[in-house]
Amino acid sequence: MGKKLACGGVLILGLAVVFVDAHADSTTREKTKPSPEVSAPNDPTTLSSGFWADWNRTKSSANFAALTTAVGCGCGPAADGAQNQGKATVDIAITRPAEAAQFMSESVASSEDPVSNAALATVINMRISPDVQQAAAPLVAAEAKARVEEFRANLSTGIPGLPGIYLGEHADGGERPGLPEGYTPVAGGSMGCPSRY
Amino acid sequence: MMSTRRAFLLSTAGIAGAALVGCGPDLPPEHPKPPLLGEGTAPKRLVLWGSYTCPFTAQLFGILDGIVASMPKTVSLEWHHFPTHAPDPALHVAGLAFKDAHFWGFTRRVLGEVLKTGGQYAGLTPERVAEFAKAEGGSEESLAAAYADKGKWDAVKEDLIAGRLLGVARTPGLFYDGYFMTPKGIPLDLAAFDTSLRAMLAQG
Repeated sequence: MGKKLACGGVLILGLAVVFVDAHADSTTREKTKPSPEVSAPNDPTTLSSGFWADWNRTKSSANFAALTTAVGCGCGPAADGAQNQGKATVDIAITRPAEAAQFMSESVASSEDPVSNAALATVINMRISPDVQQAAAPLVAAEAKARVEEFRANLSTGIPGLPGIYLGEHADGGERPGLPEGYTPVAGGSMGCPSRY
Repeated sequence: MMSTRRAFLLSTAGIAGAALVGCGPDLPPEHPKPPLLGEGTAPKRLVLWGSYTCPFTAQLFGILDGIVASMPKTVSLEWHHFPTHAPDPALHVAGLAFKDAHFWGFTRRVLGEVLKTGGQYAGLTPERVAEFAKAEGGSEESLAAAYADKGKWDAVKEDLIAGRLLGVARTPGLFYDGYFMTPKGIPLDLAAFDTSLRAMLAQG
């Protein structure tokens, strides 16, 4: 009897899991509407559902909010990149060592997992040239110095690129032109795919 | 099918859990390189955050592909993933099943499909993705291996975070020399944009 109950319990539990899983499938399909048919095992939308669930947790986490504030991207849940929307081209380079030191101190302190660390390494490489990073190193806040040093030692995002490949050294701590040399903004409107997530 | 999906969900939960538990200051060991089109020694680099399901990414990629081909000693193109639509993450992970020319071949095929259908990505079925994979020397098995690789999902998430932190809110997001070139998206006049980018790269 006890054995039958236990088996029944397992069966009910199993059916419940299948129901919940099937319901989750249904919900995903309703939200994304890839096709009216049943999803195949390798259906990209189905495969991606776990990624989006994880991303939604990341995006709404206090850690991510702190990171977006530290880098000043205006890309937190409330702002969503709105500060860039009216501009044709945005200069993202940080050329003053003191500003770079503050940026690195605050952003590195706000990044707490390997994936965010690697993402932040890309951001720092894209925004602060190697020379400015070097000049900023002594200005980093004392409490953040060790972590920033460790971060800078691992800043390569993979391609052993040329120094300054993301950001030329012409800035030299001063003002940069508002546009890249030789570039003429194109008038007449723009188009893009807004981030849905 | 259910068990496969459940296994995937469990593995994804495991990935997320491992990411949460594994908090620490270190960058991931043996960090994968972002895909690079062109010569790594080219002194200038365009950096693109793109979505495999975005027709505007497809349009800009066509322009940049042509620029790199015609200015190989001057500029290269670095790709970063910026999933925007529901099926995007898995498609990008599928792309990471390939390296070098085959990555770009797969990317051209996926973006070409989206462009051909006017931005509809429903045609990117498992069968079509497998077809593209086979054309680039892959297989359904190599795709399955990519889908099971935590590092590839992490690479896509890492790019998404980096793109967001750089201010990308729509795709494509193009960067050059510390400038975010497309904060509002790409210009409607693509021919003029192509010309202006070439003039910019010809400087210096």
